[in-house]
Amino acid sequence: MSLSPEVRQRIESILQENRVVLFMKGNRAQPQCGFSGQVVQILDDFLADYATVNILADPEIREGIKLYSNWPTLPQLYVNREFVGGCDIIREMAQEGELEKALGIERTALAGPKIELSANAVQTIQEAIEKSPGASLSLHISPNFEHSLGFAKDVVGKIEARTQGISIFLDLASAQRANGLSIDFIDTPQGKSLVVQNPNQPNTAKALGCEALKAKLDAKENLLIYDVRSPDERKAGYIEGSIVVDQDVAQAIEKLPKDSALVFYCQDGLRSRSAAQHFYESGFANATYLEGGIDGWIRHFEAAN
Amino acid sequence: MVQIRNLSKNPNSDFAATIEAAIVKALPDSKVTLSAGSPGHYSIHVISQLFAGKSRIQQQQLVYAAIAHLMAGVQAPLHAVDRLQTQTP
Repeated sequence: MSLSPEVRQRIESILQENRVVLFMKGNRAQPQCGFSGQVVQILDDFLADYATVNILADPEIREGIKLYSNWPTLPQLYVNREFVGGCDIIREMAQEGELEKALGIERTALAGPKIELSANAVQTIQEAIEKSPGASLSLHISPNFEHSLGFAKDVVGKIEARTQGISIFLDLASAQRANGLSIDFIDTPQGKSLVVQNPNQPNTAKALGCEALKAKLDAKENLLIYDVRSPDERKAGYIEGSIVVDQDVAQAIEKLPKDSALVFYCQDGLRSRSAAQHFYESGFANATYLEGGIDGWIRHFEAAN
Repeated sequence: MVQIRNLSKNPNSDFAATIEAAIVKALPDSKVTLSAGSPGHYSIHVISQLFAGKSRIQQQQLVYAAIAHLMAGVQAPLHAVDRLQTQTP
């Protein structure tokens, strides 16, 4: 039993292309095993971005990585093409404060992310600070760019951003997502509400061109293609294998793994862009839409024939 | 040098001996202690001079490389190593 050159090559190109890679069961949004989940949770505190490989979807890599690493279990973490360890080791490294260095995080590069507060925010925050003696203002930014501002007693190891006389403490991963942030508070019937603008947030669902979609279909990539038109419009032509989106389908999509590759299309690309954007904002990073819609698709491929 | 704990009481002892032999083959000076957990699960403790100067992961990789053939595939006789400890004498 040995590692075939093809699989070795595949693993090495994954490691070449990604500085930090976690080979795991499931994905970052939905780990499929407790050990993988623990490692994701730990890494999420340290890194804004890292790659994951779902070995459940790839039996070749699943067996191959064990041989490649001389390590029989998953998950497995690689940094700069070096094997770092599995769940136990990563947990220990995190506890002993070794993980940050192993992940190649440079605090000096993260120091003092630039954060801007509106006058309203300064006032609201200062009032809150006065009511919370002994606690420090801390900001957490989740992988999906949900921002939460609160008070924490313990800020050891956190990154401090100082702005307009106020110190805000961020965990390492949040600090990586925070530069250029602006914070405001608006008055709502429910009280003051936090409004954050974060330029680091990738905020639009990607468009797919006809050729790009065709290439994915030809490669038999795992795509879910949704037609957001009415059944009537569909009579004029549709993409093979696409699913018409009604209320039930829309709810079913919400329950899919967040890294599912979703492609929406409509007649001309407008409605599908809103649909893709909607799911993108609810955490589907791979929600895309067909640029130009079915009209563009038909034009493109009929013209080609 | 090989030590097997609870040799007589352990129904997996034949297989435990196989695991130890595989480790000793790769690390000839090693002292191996095994304890069986649930079926197919073992905890392994290895002491070897060959670990000197290596990181904990490198030490464990040496052991795993030695027993990889027993752990391969879904029906592997060695299903899981619950705990692997390595140290120098």
